[in-house]
Amino acid sequence: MIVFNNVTKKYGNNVGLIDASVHINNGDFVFLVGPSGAGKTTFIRLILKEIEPDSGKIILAGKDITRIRKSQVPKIRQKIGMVFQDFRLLEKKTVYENVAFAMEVLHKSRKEIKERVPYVLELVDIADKANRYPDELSAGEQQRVGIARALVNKPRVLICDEPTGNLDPITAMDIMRLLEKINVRGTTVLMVTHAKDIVDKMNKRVVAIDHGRIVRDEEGSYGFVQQSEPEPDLYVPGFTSFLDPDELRAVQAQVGRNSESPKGRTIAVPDPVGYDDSLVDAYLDGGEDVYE
Amino acid sequence: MSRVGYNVKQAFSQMGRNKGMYFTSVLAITAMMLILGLFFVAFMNVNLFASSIEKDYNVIQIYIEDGGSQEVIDSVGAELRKTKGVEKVEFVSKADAMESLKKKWGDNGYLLENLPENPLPDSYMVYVSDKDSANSVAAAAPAIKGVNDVVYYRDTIEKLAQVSHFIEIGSLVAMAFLVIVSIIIVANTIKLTVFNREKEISIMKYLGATNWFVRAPFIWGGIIVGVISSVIATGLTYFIYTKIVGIIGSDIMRILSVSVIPAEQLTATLLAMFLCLGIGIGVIGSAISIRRFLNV
Repeated sequence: MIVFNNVTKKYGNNVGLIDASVHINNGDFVFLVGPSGAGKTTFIRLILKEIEPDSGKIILAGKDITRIRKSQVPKIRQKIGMVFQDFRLLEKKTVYENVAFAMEVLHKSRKEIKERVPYVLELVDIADKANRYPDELSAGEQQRVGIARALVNKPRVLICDEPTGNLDPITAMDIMRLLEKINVRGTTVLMVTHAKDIVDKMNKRVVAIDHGRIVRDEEGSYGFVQQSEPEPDLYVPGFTSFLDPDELRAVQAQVGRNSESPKGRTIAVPDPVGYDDSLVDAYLDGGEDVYE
Repeated sequence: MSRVGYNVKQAFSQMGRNKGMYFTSVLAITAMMLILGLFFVAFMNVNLFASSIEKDYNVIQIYIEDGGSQEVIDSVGAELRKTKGVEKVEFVSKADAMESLKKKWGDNGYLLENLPENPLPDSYMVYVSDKDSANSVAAAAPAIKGVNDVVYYRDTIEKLAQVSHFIEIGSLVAMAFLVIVSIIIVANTIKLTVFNREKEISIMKYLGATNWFVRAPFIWGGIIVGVISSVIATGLTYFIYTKIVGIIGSDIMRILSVSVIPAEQLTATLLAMFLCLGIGIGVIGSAISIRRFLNV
């Protein structure tokens, strides 16, 4: 359970969070959305006790964490699993070692580590790459490792800071499915994101922050007008969901014709197995980067 | 795996990744300890010499002019006995002096056997009650007719005390300076290691690692540097000291009639001293360098 009670945090004249009150129950799946600089990061840093609020209460797992001593901070963080946009894996450690490292940090016994790590790797569906190094994995696989590491110490809350920010839309959806699976198993998930399409599609509770204030807290959609994030010119997120075959063919036709399209345009397509290979060929012929 | 075992293993793997810097640290700290060690053995020896002659502070030796007649000898003796503060006057003949010198020289005494004539003068040992009388007797004695020379160890003791005091101050100043330099060197070495592991440390903090968990391998690294430096420095000091003693030890023995402290006797003290110093430097240096990285 995460409770924010009238929490205010300012950085000099800059606003971090103003009078924010949020109640997140155990087992909730909550999106935290809002434009850059709105206060999302402040929100997360407050939960992690990286910073202290100017006023208000923050309750995590029944404890008012604004009133506990600095030396108790590790205890709080042990209850939270962090997933980062940039994965933050250790390049010199294998997948297995990266996940085991999280347990070593908490002085877990070798026996516990040997039992738990393979289980979690299996859970995030990366067990077959346990002995690979992060740079041998795709971005999506790396994020799975990141999630495994966050889960391995059985946290009550999983905080995901733009977990799909570095992923193509298809992979992003896979990661979302994984997060949902984890949530269904009982872990509270709080996800900070900019990805309107993901929020809209998942249909979960959305807490929207703007200029430090909680402007909306309800089930449903992203709500904000999409910010000007760097995006592909042509955006085909998981087209089974967003485009029907007719629309798809329309895109195909458009791209096929636009053969002198500038380099750097990116079109994402899902695993082409089961679909018309010629679609991918058409994209490629059109000078697009196609990734699966 | 035990926590200490884990941390030491981490410390060694860190050292492996930053061999050059750690090697430089060991070199610098060893050099510092070597300088300290040489100061220390010099200090110990001067102190020993000072204390071995200190017990003679209340004795003034008055040498009679060479070839002085029995009359002269007696009159000097009488004069001395009259002097204020004198407790006892003892006559030491040429022959007595030679005997005691032979005794002092011990095994080297045979060197004195074949002298054509005894070069030592007759003398009086004047025992005084306190320092002030000693000073006044020493000042008055040269005026007595027939007195050739006055040897009063107090001068020597004071000079020696000055020398040992100087060495003491010198080594303290050198030590303070060198300890600071060493701490800076260790701190910088460890800081580089910390930089290399900055990402790892921030991840550890997010995973809920305690500050001690993060700190421990670095502190162990500092301790290992300290211990290695101590052992090398002790070995080097021992080696240099025995070489010096080998070259001039017997000369010192002959000239000052005092033997130097055997190297074996100093080694344990040196090692203990260096270990304390080295471990202290390692711990402080690493604690300093990692402090600001812990506030994540």
